[in-house]
Amino acid sequence: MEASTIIETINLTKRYNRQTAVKDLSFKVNEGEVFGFLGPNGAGKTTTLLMLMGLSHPSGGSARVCGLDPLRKPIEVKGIVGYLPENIGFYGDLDAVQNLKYVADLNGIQADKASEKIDELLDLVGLKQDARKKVGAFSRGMRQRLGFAEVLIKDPRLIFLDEPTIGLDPDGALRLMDLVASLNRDRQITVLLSSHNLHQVQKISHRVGIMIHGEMVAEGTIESLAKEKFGVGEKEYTLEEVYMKYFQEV
Amino acid sequence: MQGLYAVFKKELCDHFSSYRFVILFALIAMVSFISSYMAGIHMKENLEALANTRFPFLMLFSSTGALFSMVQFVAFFGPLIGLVLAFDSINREKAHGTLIKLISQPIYRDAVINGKFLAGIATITIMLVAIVLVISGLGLVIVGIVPGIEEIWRLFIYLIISIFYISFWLAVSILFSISFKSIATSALASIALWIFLK
Repeated sequence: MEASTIIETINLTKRYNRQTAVKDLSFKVNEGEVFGFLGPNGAGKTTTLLMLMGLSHPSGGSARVCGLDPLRKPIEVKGIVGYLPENIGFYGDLDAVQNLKYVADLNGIQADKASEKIDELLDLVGLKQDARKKVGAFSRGMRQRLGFAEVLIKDPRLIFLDEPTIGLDPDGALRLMDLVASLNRDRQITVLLSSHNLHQVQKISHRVGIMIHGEMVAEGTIESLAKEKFGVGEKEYTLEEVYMKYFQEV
Repeated sequence: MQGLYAVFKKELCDHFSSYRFVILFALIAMVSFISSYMAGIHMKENLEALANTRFPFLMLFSSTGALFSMVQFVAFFGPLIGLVLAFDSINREKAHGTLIKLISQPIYRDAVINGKFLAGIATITIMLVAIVLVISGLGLVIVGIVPGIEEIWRLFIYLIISIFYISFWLAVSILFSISFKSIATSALASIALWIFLK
């Protein structure tokens, strides 16, 4: 089955003064897949995500998200894409429902529909009993789950997750990843997952891309990358081993 | 447009539920009432002098009863209202990580700034109009003079000009909150500019 392309970048480049954060990046993400976006800190992953949403202007090259150019149609793109930043912030003096309500308002969702949706999403992420608690009192895990609800409120076709499990306890991280996998499976949401937890990425990604120093050094299924590095005979491998192999070569 | 209205609504809510607004409003209202009350008492004692002035009702706002008049007070402290309302409007969102979330929603970036600015203007307008109306009522009761049509017009124009004046400072403090990362720096820069120009 040949899936259609939802994200495509062609020689996408971003320079800050003299430093090149992203260099001639070309990759594709197919609709309906979980794409593991890997790379060391400072490899340019977040910059790439920002460029895909039209929040950062590329110095060169182009990108297409759902067939739209994020540079020319940022509003349309941002209406389709849900973005969970690495350190998501909330209004601490508002409760969970009020925080979600604001995002629903910003997305132009009608009030009665929004409150229905908020109930449903809070239930989905397991925050129903904390709906009226001030977010300032939320734990890290609860904030992350609320962030998920916030991303889903606009019914995105595509979600960008930037280190969603960082700082979470193992159980919380596991449940979050299960949630991502179920969203992808049940709602056909395409997921661009950037994470350092390679074990989890391996479990839920269909394909991965490894970005080092602003360049995509590898892209494909974990199997194909492993074959390339370890040969066909190798059966036992982990994404971690594959990743380290690429990393050491650069 | 949808983004602008959403930001405006949220910011207006924030203003009215914040301690900052309560303290600011209490301060401005108290000082204005006291100065106008003093002026009113003073006018009552000198009713003959009042008969010769062109706009006796406006004396309530402009005559210096004891220390200063309400108009002088607004002219001097008005900028502070504008500055205090917005010196942390953008950089606080940045510090709390909510700015990136805001602009990753399908709205234009200007909507965030404009929404905050409009909410500030609305807050200032409500503050000033309320104070002027209460003082007018106070004047009717204490001094017993009724404003003429022209006086009402002049009062109205005074309000418009004051709102513009304070909104200018509101805009300045939003500008500082955009250009300075630290909240303390933008507060300091706003106050420094105010003192320098005063």
